[in-house]
Amino acid sequence: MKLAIIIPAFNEEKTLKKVVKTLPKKIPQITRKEVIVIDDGSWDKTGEIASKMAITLISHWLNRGLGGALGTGFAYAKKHGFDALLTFDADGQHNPKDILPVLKPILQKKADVVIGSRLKKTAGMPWHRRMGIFGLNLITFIFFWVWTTDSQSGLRAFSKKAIQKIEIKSNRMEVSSEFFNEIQRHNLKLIEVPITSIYTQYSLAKGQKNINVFRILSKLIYRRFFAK
Amino acid sequence: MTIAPVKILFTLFALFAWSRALLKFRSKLMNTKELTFWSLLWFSLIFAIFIPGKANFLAKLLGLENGLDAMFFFGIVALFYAIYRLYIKANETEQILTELVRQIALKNVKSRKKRKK
Repeated sequence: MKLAIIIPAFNEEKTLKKVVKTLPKKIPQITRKEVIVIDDGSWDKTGEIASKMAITLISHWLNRGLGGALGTGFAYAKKHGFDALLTFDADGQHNPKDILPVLKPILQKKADVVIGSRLKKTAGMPWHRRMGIFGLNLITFIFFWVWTTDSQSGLRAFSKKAIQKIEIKSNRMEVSSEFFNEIQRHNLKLIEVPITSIYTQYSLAKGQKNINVFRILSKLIYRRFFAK
Repeated sequence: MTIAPVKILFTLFALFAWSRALLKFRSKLMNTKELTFWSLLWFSLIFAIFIPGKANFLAKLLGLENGLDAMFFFGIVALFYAIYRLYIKANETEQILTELVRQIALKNVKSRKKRKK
């Protein structure tokens, strides 16, 4: 099985090298693993650092946001016929030990989409982050009729069917909720798996802010009712 | 005959807005169709503002007290529609830009293989 690990990165010179280095070298059932870093118009040394690592680097000359970067990752995976895709954050928030539990249902063909949920194991999560995630879960449910305990999780796995079917049109952080529209639209089987998050000052500063909820809401309204 | 100051102010503003459109046309940033549209719009509004009682008909239709309220109502509706159209256009432009950036990025993929020891 061919696996693409997509790491969207915007100004992550401090953490990118460590994140890529700590990815598992071998994964059961995976014959070929390709780490793809999407440098989303970074103006620090993210691109330079990524170009020196044994990975595939795709660089946006202009910042397009998380949605833009993930869309590029999906386009690459679709073009190269990958059997599975994993998205992983570049800010060091994710624990590499959670990769296999998230991938397992895909490898066992029990799911098309697996979301690593931080709300199933909330130890160490600040209360305001928990509140924000729950609020966005509610908004995702109202718009797309899919309930999830972590609509904003960056650790997700997708089957070949999901890779081929999902079309990402969002540019910014509203993409996390947009995945659920695609899950519902294409009737993809969704499973959630508990994951732990590594909260540092750096990863908290980089992550989703509660104030973004208004922006995300307006983008989801546009996506749901007005987008072609 | 005294002319209300608001009519004079509006006329001056409409002429100013029309002059902007004319300047854009002269700089070839606007085509003839667009200039015709904006000219018709602004001059119709100037014309309409000087016709006595024309808005009272509209006011009666909407169940409002006077013509000025009717004008404000339509003005606000038109503004909201314009904002809606601009928002849609902005989102479409963002998507096109992302697609352009993506296609360029995918044409220039850099792949570095791990050296076997």
